[in-house]
Amino acid sequence: MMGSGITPWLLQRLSSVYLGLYGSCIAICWMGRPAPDHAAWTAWVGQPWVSLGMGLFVLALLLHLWVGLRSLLMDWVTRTAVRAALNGLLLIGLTGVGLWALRTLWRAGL
Amino acid sequence: MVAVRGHGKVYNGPCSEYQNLFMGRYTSVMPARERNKAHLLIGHRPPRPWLSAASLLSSTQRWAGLFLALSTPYFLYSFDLSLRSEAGFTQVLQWVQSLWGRLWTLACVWAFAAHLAAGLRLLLGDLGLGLDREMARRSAWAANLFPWFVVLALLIGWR
Repeated sequence: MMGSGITPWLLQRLSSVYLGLYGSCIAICWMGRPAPDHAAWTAWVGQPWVSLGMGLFVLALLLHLWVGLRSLLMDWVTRTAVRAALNGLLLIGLTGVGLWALRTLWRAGL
Repeated sequence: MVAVRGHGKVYNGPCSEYQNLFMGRYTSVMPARERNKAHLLIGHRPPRPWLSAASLLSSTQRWAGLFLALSTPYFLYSFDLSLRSEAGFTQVLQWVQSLWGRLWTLACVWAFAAHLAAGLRLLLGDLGLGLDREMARRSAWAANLFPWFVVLALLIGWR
């Protein structure tokens, strides 16, 4: 299992299923509805099932981004040192995005 | 089976449906120098000068994915701003409802639909579905057209 590449592959597939299902559900849920006001919007996001679902969505998104951008770097960046540096930057950036999303969702009532 | 060209022996042996389907993926992602040798590696016919539907789909998925990945901070910023205060919410709503905001949203929806359709096709392929040549070609066409239908439906819905 280790080093065979099956772990990122599996993470990509599993996260894609959740991202596709949840993303489509949210899109269909808001389609055709008039734009909400601020109070209705925060109340909707503050519901436990919405904010929890969004927390999982962010987690799946980060994993999906990591695998996708990593394979992009593996294809396009041939110098090992440059690729390693970019991979490090990618991890730092994704961690930052994750913490930012966590703070936002925490404020919204996760 | 591997076709060896330029060595006095040309053998285009059978190749599995799995290789047929993912040939597009392989050829679209590799740099041109590798791409022209790809058929030697997996025993496929030489590449056509134009992109196959599977190849077009594969590169669309990659570019759409990169676009979505790069716009993740934008989505997060808008989400954060819209929740933070009444003024921030109004600001985001005004941007989304402006002409450029609508065009931008349309581009994001297109990219999401394209990435989703191509990903769904790959997932079905993992499950062993639609791997024969004809189905692979048809599903590639369908997945290529899907985002345009979504955008068209959205445009009709907005009017």
